[in-house]
Amino acid sequence: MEDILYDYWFCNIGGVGNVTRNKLLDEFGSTKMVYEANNMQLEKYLKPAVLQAFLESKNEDKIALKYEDLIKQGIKFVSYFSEEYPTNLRNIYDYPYGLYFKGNMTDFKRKTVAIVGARDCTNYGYEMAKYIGEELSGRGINVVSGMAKGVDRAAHVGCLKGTGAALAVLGCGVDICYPRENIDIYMEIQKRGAIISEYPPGSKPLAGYFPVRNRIISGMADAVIIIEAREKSGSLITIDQALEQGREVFALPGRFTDSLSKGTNELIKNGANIITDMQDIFDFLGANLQDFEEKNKKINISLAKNEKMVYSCLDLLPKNLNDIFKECQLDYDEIHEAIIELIIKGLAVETSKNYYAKTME
Amino acid sequence: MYNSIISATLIGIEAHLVNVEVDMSEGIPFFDMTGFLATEVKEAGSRVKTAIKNSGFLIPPARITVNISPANIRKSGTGFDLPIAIALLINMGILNEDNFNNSLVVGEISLGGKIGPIKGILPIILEAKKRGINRFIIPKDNYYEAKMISDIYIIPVESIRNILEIIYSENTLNIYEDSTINERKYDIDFSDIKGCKTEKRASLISACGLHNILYVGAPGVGKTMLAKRLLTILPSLSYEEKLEVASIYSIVGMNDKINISDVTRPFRNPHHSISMSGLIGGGKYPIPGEISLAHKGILFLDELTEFMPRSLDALRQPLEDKKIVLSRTYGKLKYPADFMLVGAMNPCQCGYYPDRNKCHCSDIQIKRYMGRISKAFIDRIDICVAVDGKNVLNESEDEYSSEKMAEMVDAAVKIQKKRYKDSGFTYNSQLSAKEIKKYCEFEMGALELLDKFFAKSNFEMRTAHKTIKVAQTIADLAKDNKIRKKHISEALNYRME
Repeated sequence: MEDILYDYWFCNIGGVGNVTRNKLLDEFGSTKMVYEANNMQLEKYLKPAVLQAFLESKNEDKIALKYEDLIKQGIKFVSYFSEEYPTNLRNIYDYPYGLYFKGNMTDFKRKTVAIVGARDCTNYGYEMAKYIGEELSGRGINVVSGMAKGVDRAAHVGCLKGTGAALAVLGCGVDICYPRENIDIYMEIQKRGAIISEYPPGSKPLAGYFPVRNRIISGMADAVIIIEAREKSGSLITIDQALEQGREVFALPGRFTDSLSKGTNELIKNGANIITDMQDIFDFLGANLQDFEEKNKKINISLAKNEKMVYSCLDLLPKNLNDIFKECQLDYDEIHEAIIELIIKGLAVETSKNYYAKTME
Repeated sequence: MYNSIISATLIGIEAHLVNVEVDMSEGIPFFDMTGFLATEVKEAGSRVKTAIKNSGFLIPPARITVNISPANIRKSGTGFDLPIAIALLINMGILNEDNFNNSLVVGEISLGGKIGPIKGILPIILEAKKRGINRFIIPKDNYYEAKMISDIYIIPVESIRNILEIIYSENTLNIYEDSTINERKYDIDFSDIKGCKTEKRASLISACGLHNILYVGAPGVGKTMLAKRLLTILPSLSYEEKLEVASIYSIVGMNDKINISDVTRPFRNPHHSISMSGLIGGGKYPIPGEISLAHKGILFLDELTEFMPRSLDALRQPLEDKKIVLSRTYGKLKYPADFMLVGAMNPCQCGYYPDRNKCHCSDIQIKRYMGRISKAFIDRIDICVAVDGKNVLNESEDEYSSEKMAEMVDAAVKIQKKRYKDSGFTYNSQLSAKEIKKYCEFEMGALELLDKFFAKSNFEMRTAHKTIKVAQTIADLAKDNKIRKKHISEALNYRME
């Protein structure tokens, strides 16, 4: 049997988890050695019921067949010893022994940044995550996130616009698109990066899986950027793990009153890096910034006077029509016309009925 | 001896004139009633006999046959007591037949001979008047309603004995008061709401063209306040429209107006637990639903998402046809339902979206919440506006008071009436796709703007048409004879998707 098949078998024994796996590996040295170990040796590590399952799983034909099935589904498997295994992940304490993925594992010599944050983010958070994702990816930096709603989605969407690889780590099998509405990026990421999971294909998205997969997100990255988080947010778990793993943490500051920035502001207070400029993160990564200026001249589209006034009044946080009336000293029909023009030009969006925000594109 | 009296029955809101025929001949005493009668009409026999006896007249033992013709119309209601009694009294030689020529008689009688009111006096009189009858013997309690109609003679009667006195003194009344001048008198006013410029302007536009409108906003920001004040600026009713409104209230016995001038556009706000038949009308003994009670007025559905989807979807057809037809085994009942739909709803379950400091709803939850309203229903709403309602306390007075807005509405309605004078409709909201082509004129580039905008978002012909209809109203409001880019832009900002 090939080495990879031993690894694959080793990751798929019912009742054997990460802790047991590590113990067995420490004792026997390699998966092949574990496979060939005799019962007497194994009894020390496995309970009788697990041992039974362990012995039953040792069927070479079955293993080969299952592995072939996997390949047929377009799912690949890498183990800790494979070359394609993410480099950064090797040096964390509780690395996953095997990973399933769809798409292509990228060149991990490039820098990788994780972007995390709230699912029910504000428009500001969404636009910022998208912007940062795009800026990083535009410089060939990989962006890893969790393909959840909100910030995660925005990070992937932004990343897909650049040249960096998009990496999504799921809390379910890689053959399941969760949440369902992200099917568009799920398909796109497979072409431009990889959908990754430590759970075998077919695993349901159980609540318990998500905090565990967070360690992989931060583990794969050189730095973690947190966009928006409430006081008690799941994203803060990722940050805790990132700090344990020795990753650099960058937090996006927010306003005093925004409950969605309570978590990030708290992190900054406790010593996390503050990100107020792309330069902050580029400096840390040592990325090449030559084409930065070029990308930054986005408002080249000529705007009429009224449109400029309305555009300058808009913000990343959506504003109600009444507030725009109050701030721009223009007639209501001029404002209506300017807003529609801005929407047509792609400079503004109506985030919800009569609430308008600037876009970062 | 045989004679007949004219009376009427109601099917839906339509009155049908009928003849109440009574024959009295010698033979074994016997009382029979025929003519496709509902139970309450059949009961009239015993009521009338007892009432006549208690009024001091003796019915001779004879064969009495009562027939109400034509026999192919089902007769219901309690209005046949009085015509039967009068026909009997004529037969008995107590009243003179000549006194009831070309007269319509309706009324319920109690055992003591007192005459009580009936429901639906207005449609009955209107129909009879159309048929050339102008003398009406009706219960006194119905007199206030009846006198809303011009050029008729009304004889209000209280009791059977009273009839004799009045008939012989020829004491007819014609106290129609011509007071069609409508002053909008309300104790609420748009100036009660401070700020909310967009909301008020959207309300103004919807009132000008009678566009259905939806207010979306967090709890307590003033959606209901706006909706109620919409009534204060709607175009005033014509005399005919007032009679239509009063007629509906007449058949459900809810007409509490004394003068025709007091009749205003109704405002109905049924609770969201209302059943489908409560909303559109129906029941074993069918009565008009809320949509008919809101005829020529506003049907306000607060907490739109809480209504049963089935009830809401039942509104779709009346919104198009301006009437509702209920089918029963004995015939079809038609009720008018030309109302303006005003809805109010929260943007999400918790009510605070897009304020993310308060709202934790996920996008899916928000979508699902909005999804409770079917697309087909949404298609029938022309204007959607967010009600923001913050910082209204320190807002200064603005130009939008009910009085000023009503003036603007009247001016815009005038323009519409002139434009559509040969077309059988009055308001921009009634424009069809074909009529848009015929009546709407556009500034250069206005339609291109629409194209460009819909190239960005998902285009739908119906949304585009709605936008044009609203833009036409905005142009009328600005007294502009062409739809300009700015009008299209504003209409786009009120679009409902």
